Amino acid sequence: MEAIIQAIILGIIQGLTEFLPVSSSGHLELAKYFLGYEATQSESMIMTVTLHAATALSTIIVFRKDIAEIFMGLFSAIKNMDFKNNESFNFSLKIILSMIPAAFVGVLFDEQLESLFNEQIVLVGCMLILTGFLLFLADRAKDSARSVSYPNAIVVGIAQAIAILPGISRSGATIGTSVLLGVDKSKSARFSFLMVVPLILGKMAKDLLDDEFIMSTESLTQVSIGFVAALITGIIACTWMIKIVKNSQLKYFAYYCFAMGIFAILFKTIYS
Amino acid sequence: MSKENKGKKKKVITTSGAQTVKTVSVEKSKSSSTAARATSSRAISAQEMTFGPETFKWMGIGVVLMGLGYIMMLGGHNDDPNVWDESVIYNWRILILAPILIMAGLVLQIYAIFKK
Repeated sequence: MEAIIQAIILGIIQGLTEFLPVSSSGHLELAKYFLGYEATQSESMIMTVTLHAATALSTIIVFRKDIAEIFMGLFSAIKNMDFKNNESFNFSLKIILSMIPAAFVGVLFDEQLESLFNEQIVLVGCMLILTGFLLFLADRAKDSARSVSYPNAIVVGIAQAIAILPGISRSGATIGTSVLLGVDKSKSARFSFLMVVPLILGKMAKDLLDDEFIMSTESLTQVSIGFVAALITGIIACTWMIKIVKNSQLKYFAYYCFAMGIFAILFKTIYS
Repeated sequence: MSKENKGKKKKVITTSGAQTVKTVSVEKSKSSSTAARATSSRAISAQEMTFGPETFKWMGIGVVLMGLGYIMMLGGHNDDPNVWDESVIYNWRILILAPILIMAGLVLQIYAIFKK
């Protein structure tokens, strides 16, 4: 029963924090630490992969009309051989460009990054405070009607690569950077959520095919429950986050990141 | 047909009583008809993207397929640490079949989301 509750909590945390600008990896690490989540490396890895797959599905569900329009536009560009003036083609190209830095870091520094995801509570705390500063600045930025340009896509992609560090929010870093570059807030949120979907699905396929995963009956139940919890919470959080960015309410998440970051550092310093 | 009439469309409207037949000439510019087409196609696509029983059926099949994949991952270790059995450790069911089933389940769910 305890394992099931742990799975539900982890699923809800992943679903919420993947979209809200408060770092999903940082919160998952903190939750595993405080819940006393005990699993083999293989079981923990398959849990993470599954929870990420669930939130990728949430994004696809929320942005299904946008994604369908992009693909329809792409087919029309290929059919008419008109790539220059096709908005969908340009948007897809920007998404691909933005994925390059994170893919590069993920492939080249995979092992070094994995070591950072092992109860590094102080590091998580510091990065949460950094995320808070970024959100605070982004919230004060003036709104504009500009779309994401090609140079913007590269800079946002670099922000996404830095956000691989536990404690830095991916959505917070990418939306914050985009808004600070002068891009419209809603367009920044849309770009941020769409740019990560191919990356998550690609990472999932790579992990599943490269590694050998072994499951126990208990972890099978945990993974299934975690998937459903993350999927449902992800849909709610994604829709909520679009409204939050639009209404300039990022500062509240900045305060939350400051508080969590300070709490994590103090807790680890006092009790270790 | 002259060039001027190319942009014109004749629309015949029959009233329900079938007593009178009106012929209305509607002139539309090329750009406004394109905009209307785009608006209607967006409206259609929005309607088509609504989730129906078909979507949930295919999503359910996808979930079942993913579940089967996870079930295929069960086992894969020896109870006795002194025994090395390659057929258990490097089992094709765990290494190949299980990941393929999980990914197929995920692909099926994405297909379900976009199914009209």
